[in-house]
Amino acid sequence: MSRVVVAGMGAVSPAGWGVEELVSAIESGAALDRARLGHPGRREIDALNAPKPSKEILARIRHPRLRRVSGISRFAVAAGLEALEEARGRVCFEETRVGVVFCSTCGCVTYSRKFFHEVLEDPGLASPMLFPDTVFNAPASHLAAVFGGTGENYTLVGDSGTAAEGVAMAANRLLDGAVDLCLVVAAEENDWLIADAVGHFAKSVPVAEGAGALALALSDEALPRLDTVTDPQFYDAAAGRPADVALKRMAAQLGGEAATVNDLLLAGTGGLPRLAKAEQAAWADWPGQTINVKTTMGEGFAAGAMWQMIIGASALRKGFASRALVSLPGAYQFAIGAGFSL
Amino acid sequence: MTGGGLLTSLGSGWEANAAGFREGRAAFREVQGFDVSRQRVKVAAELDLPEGLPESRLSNREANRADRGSRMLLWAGQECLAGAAWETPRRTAVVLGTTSGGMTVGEDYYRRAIGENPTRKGQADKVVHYQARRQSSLLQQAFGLEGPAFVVANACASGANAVGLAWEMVRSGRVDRAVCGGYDALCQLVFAGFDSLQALSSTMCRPFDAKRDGLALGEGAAVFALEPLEEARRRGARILGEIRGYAAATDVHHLTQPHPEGVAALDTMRRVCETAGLTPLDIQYVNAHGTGTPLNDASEAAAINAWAGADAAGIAVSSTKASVGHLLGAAGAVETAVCLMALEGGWLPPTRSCRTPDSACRFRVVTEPEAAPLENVMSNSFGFGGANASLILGRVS
Repeated sequence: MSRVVVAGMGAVSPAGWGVEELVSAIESGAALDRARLGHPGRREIDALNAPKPSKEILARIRHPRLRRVSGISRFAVAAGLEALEEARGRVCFEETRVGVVFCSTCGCVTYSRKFFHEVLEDPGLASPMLFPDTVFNAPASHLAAVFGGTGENYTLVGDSGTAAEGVAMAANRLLDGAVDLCLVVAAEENDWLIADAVGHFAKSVPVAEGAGALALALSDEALPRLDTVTDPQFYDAAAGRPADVALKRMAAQLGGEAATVNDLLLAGTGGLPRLAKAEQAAWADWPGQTINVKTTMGEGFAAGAMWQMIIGASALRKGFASRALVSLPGAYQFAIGAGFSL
Repeated sequence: MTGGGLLTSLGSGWEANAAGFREGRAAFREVQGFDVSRQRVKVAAELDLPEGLPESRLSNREANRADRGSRMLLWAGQECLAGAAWETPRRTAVVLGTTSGGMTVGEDYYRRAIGENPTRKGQADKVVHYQARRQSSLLQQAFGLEGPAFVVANACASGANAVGLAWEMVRSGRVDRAVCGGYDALCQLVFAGFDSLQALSSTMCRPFDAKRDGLALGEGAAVFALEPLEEARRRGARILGEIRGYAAATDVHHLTQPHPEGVAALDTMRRVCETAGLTPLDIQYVNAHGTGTPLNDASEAAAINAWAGADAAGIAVSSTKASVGHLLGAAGAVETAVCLMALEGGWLPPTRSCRTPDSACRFRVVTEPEAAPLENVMSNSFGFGGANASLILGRVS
């Protein structure tokens, strides 16, 4: 994958609408404003919401397709367009051969919840206005419509590791010659249902919403390069597959053993103590700097994984690191990692 | 493709389905899995799951917790891998398509979360099993498949995308083999969604019929084993067929409606032929997306007419959604299976509910069972959100 480079990046996060806002917030480490989220009148947990977009951002994502959409589609479009715009200045590609790989863990949960609530109240009266935007690939479809992308367009679902799988798929399609440039976008939106679900496992890390995007292309320019995406390593304590073994395998596949003090580790555990312990054990001998994006940004699932990759690629661009390794222990399913270098 | 496993409302297993598709038998009934009494339409191609689960590496605890979609997937996977009879473990990609994943589990979670006396008992387990990646993880763990995995949720094109992407991974040498396909279980949210859009037929699913009035939903799973042709020949495997081309494109016309002239569909069909090095004259049969909705079939007919040009009249087209309904994320995979069955058996699967083909169809709609020697066939999947994909499958001598 050595010719696969990060030609552009885009982000929407609790810190704001843009990569600069995300990177600055991680660099400063200052706490962001939290909200409380939960079923009305019941258990609530902390949440980090994306702030309202500025007029400039609203003008940038103004499109008929986005008239009735929920947050996830707006986030995906804004991050995707930011990454695409930056890529236009760095690499050459045919606009009709831009692919999209969209990744999400929770998908279009707000409209899904609203629609299903209506179904439970009276299926004969559930609104057809809501249903189309419940579908997993709706955000990817909107993004393509906004920039006129008629090329390949895939939506991948899974836990946070799905963002790394999306990067791998995009790299494959670039190397196959199917696309000239591929936008990998991961997005999530906050909803009380997500908070309710997360509350069964972790209450110490707030749920977060937003999107992250990488525009990948083939190039020999001095840009952050994708070195590898590991195979998924499964863990399930109940089935005799401990997390620490899986994470150590992932770390070894990423080349963690050969790390130097100049390398940067983007750790990925959030509020699951057992998983955090396993990740710490897997990277116990790590000699370089470690950043955990979730400390500032909360649990953003697939979007959070993309924020990790953006922070890594940004550090490479600024010369703060020679390699950036992204560790992604997904909630209860598998560990996967991605490695970048300059 | 050296292994195939299949479950639809026509039955469990490759042979039972081949017999049903060859006859053009329709298998619909009033939905039993959830309450449809308040829906405009009450029927779907709902299947009877086999008892229990196939023998696998899953613990009893994991097996007992498997949701309906996982069970379909595991049965189809077991049949597929038994047919492929791979002896030595190798790096194997798993690429699956779905639209709903574990949605039935998610629905249960929500009902309990909003109930008057919400209980936390069992809810955490539902969160884990709801996630769409869970089913593919179970398949990998059940049969010891180690390698990269992708779960594609590209609406109605998901299954075709999964097969095409897996093919690309095998032919590029990134993996030694792949297990691919699609699965989707009927669930209340999706059924009510299509009903709310009035996209479901209130009479009978009649793809390409002049009086068609909508689609019928179905459920099922289809899973395939992919390996390089030379490897399959070397070990003397039964070869169901060969993938000769794959193409995908995006229709940005509208979120739920295809471009009236089928512009992206045409692009997909032309590019899949380029990939395969074939022309429309080389394709004897097209398994159409053919949902039975007025807009889809008109758009697809326009695309097929334009793609085939003067040769359109010589091309046989049918939609097997008239038999098993629209399986959404599994549709492209099940229809790939139908194409393989037709190639191997030398027959065309009819759309028997199409009595009077729409005048827009310049091609021949197959409405009765017939024998036909086939070399190359095309499978179209043109989905919601503009996700379009086509595959070309060929017979291997």
